Amino acid sequence: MTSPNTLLLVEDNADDEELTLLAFEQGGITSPVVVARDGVEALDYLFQPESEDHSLKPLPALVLLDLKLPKINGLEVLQRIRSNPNTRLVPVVILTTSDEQRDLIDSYNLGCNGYIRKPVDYDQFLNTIQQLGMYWLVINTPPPLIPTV
Amino acid sequence: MRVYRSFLSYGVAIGSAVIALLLSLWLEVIINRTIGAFFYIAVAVSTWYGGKQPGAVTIALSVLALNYYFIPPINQVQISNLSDILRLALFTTVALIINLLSTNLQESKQKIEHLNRQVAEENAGRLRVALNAAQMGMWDWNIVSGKIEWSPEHEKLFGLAPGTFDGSYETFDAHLHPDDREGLNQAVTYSLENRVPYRYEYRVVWTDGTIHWVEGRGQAFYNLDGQAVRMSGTIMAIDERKQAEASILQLNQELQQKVTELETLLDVIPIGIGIAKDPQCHQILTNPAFAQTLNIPSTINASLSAPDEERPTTFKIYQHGREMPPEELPLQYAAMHGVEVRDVELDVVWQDGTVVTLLEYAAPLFDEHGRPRGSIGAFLNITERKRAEAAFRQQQELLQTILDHIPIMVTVFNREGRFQWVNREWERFTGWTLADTKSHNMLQEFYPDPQYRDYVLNYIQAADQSWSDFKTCLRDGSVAETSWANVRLSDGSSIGIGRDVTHERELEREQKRLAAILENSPDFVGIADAAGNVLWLNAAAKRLIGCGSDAELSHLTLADCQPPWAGELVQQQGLPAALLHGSWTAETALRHRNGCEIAVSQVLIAHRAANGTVDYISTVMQDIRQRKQAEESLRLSEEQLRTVLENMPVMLDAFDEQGNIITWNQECERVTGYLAEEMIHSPAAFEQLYPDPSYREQMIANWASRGNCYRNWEWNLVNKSGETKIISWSNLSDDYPVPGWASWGVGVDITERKLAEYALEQLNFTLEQQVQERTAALTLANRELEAFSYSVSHDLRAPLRGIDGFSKALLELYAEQLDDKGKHYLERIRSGTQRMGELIDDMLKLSRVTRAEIRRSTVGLSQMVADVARGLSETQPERSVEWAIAPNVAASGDRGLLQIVVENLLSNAWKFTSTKDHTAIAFGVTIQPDQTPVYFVKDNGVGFDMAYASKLFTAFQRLHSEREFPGTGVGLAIVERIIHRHGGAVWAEGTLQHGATIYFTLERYEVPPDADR
Repeated sequence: MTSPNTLLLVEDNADDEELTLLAFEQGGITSPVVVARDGVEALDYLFQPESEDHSLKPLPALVLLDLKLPKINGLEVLQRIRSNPNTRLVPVVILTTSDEQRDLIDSYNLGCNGYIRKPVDYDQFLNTIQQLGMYWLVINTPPPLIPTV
Repeated sequence: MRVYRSFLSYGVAIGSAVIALLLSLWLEVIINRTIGAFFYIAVAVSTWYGGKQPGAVTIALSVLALNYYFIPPINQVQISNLSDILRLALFTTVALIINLLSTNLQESKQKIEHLNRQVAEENAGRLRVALNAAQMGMWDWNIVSGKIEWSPEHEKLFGLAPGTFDGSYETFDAHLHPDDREGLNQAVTYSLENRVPYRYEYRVVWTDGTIHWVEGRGQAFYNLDGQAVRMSGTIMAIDERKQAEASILQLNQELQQKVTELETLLDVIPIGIGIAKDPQCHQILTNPAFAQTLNIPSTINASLSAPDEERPTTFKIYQHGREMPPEELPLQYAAMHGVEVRDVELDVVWQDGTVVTLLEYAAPLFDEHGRPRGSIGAFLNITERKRAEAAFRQQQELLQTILDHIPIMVTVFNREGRFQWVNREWERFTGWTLADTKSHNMLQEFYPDPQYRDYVLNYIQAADQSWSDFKTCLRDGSVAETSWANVRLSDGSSIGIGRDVTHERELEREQKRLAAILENSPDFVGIADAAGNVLWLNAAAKRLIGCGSDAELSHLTLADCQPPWAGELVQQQGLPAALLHGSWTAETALRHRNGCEIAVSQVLIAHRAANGTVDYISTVMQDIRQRKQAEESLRLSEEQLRTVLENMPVMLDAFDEQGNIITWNQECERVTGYLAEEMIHSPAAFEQLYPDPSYREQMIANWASRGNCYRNWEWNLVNKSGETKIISWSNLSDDYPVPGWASWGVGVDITERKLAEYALEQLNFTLEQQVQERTAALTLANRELEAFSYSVSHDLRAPLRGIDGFSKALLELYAEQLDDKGKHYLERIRSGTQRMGELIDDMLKLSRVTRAEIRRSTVGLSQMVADVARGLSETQPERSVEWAIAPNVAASGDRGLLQIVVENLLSNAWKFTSTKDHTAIAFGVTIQPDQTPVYFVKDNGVGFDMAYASKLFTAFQRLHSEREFPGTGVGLAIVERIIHRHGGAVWAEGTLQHGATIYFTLERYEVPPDADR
């Protein structure tokens, strides 16, 4: 069973994963967080329509996607999410270290819902994560479920 | 009245009785016995006057009086004796009888009077009616008293109301018309003097102003002395009679006038009038015109039906050559048969053969019973008219014949400008017929262009008789030139006269062209008569001989135009040859009047008349001085060319049709080593030059395929020494053929050049390879740099974040286990990592600026500076800052990059002034003498030592510690990169503690030497 406000964190860097989870914890965000450590894992999670008990698995309320990922990089993951009818409405926020213009343009071209540069300063990072969680998991209304077929 | 009258009657009765008593008493003494008589008288009087009753009263009184006074006893009313009674009875009886008789007499008298009155009244009434009916009035004039009496009718005729005439003569006179007053008086006087009845007609002016005619009649009455005492008579209204008289008079006058007019008309009218007074026409009266026409006196009988002795015999009447019997003549016929005869043409023929043609009309005259009583006729002498008609017909025929046969087109236009008639020439020329002109709009056929047609129509309507040319489309579609003149006729129509002038105009134009050519020919053209006297010279001729005016021509001969030797030549050879052959040509000369001789090529032409004699001669002389000069200069230039061609350092060869070399210049000889004589017309030339057969064949085939049109075609030939020479051949014979040369070409020995080129090529090839290798290396390096910076962007910061994050986690989660020093170290770790992050970010920025592409546009720097300044002020609103930003400063550059420049410069200024109490930051531009704008940002901050100015723009170089002013030292390095990438320059000026100024330009600029970078 996945909670309807599950959050999918796609992050290969263990430090960042831990820090992000810590930030969620410290920021008081209690939504379950699923972590995918590369692009394939993330897509497997998203495109696996049924859970073990064959009930329809709801999509995560938010995908936090790093760009630099092993196997399939973040931009490709985003592109596949957007081209799959089941997942194309899922909110995806890019969470990355890069502030390269190219990455920004590509991400927005592929239809990300937000682009957040991870600050080096943990205080700022914590603040960012708190606001992010508050916005996407509490304030924002997620897209409706799209029945398959 | 009646009462009064009856009292009077009784008064009279009593009175007369008293009077009778008194008289009787008074006269009793004298006449005793007649006493009663007075009483009888009294009775008679009172009865006559008063009637029966008054008479009875008198009787009674008389009886009493008699009784009292005269019958005794006297003075008593008593009768004493019978006799007295008898006397009284007798008296009474007699008195009664008197009374009775008198009464009857009175009644009879009254009846008679009444009757008389009745009769008189009836008569007067009748008279009035009669007078009224006759509109007559009666008057009576008492001449003695002057009184006039008028009957009411008379008053009415004078316009007066009855009874208003006052009877005075003046009133009567005042009503008379002033013109008639005199005559009336005379008539009255005449009547009175001569004792004849008076009668006069005169006018009366009524008070309303109307005038009325009356006739007065009267008769005078005379007394015994013969004096006229009265005059009486009547007047009668005669207005109607007068009017009738006046109109009859007028009618008579008019009739008289008409008769006079008619008689005059008959006398003067130029038409013969004859009147027959009897049905047999024995008598015909003529008016003067008719008599004159018939050549007889107008007094004699003109009738041919008259009795023998009266009949005119001087002429006879014929119709169509037949003598007319008198009874068939119009007057006779009309009179006899009572019918009108019209339009009869008759010839009057006299004995001398004179003939006059008359056109006759006759109408019968009828008497009051409608029987013919004669006739009247009019005779028009139409002899002249007949003659004129004949002449007119003849003229018309003549005109028709002329119009039909003249080669001139004639058109008659009606007043609307439509075709009415055309002649045969018109039909022949246009191809249309007269009938076509009725059914077609001929102007449209002739002149299809509407504008042109309007022009023609205007011309036709103007009809000003001038000739004008038109382009007319004919029926067969051809266009002819026609010339037309239009003449307006009095009735508004017009006649167009035209002819075909196509050929004529063409000839004229041809002639003009020829004349113009001759006139403007640069050659001497002259025409002279057979004797050589000049008739005409063109402009060039006059110029060539210096002849100023036409007057000089009249004395000029052709011989005068030439020097004597040339004149002789013409005379001796030219003229005979021209006469013999028609023309003669030779090189002679002209002589200008100033004596100069001009070499000419002369042509002499003899023009023969039809009879073979020479009519005139003409000559054309061309000035050949220039030709002669040209020939000379041509020869010279040819020589120069030949020298050049022969000696130029370019090979020149040429071939004839058979492929033999026919030209071989010195350069050919030098390059090949073969001399011209060895090569020209040598069949072995090619084999010598191209000894390798296959190479030679290849070359010949290639040449054949190219033809004689190529440039810089390179071939190798082998020279006499056996060396191979590379020749670049060009052949333009097709474009620039040279007569006599089937083909020609030029060649340049490029052997040396070719060798050098080859060496260069080798070198270039090596160089190119190096460039390619280095470019590849550079591209690779760039790519690596890009990958590096990407990687830095992504990967370098991640560990830092880890270090910072976990340090923070330690500080927060394990605070109790850490002492202050441990915490301090962790803080130091964190600040180190954060600064590392900033350094990485700035490094990336710097690298990005280097890689960014420049897109120039006009950028409003002032606005940009103001925006950034506002942003900065908002971050620290507590600071006292004075911004001085020059307005409207714009620059051409990349907007994004200039924004970075402005942000860096201003934030530097902002940063380095933060220690000052009052901050002043200025942005502006100064225009240098070479028009370069130099922008600057100036602050009053901490400034810098100019000794370190060169380090300012180096990346990561800082003049202050991180503690003093935070920063990485990349800002100005970024600024410099951007300015350099714009091609501009940037430099700084400053003094420690006294602020700094950064200058920059966006285009190439020589930095002032005192400014260090």
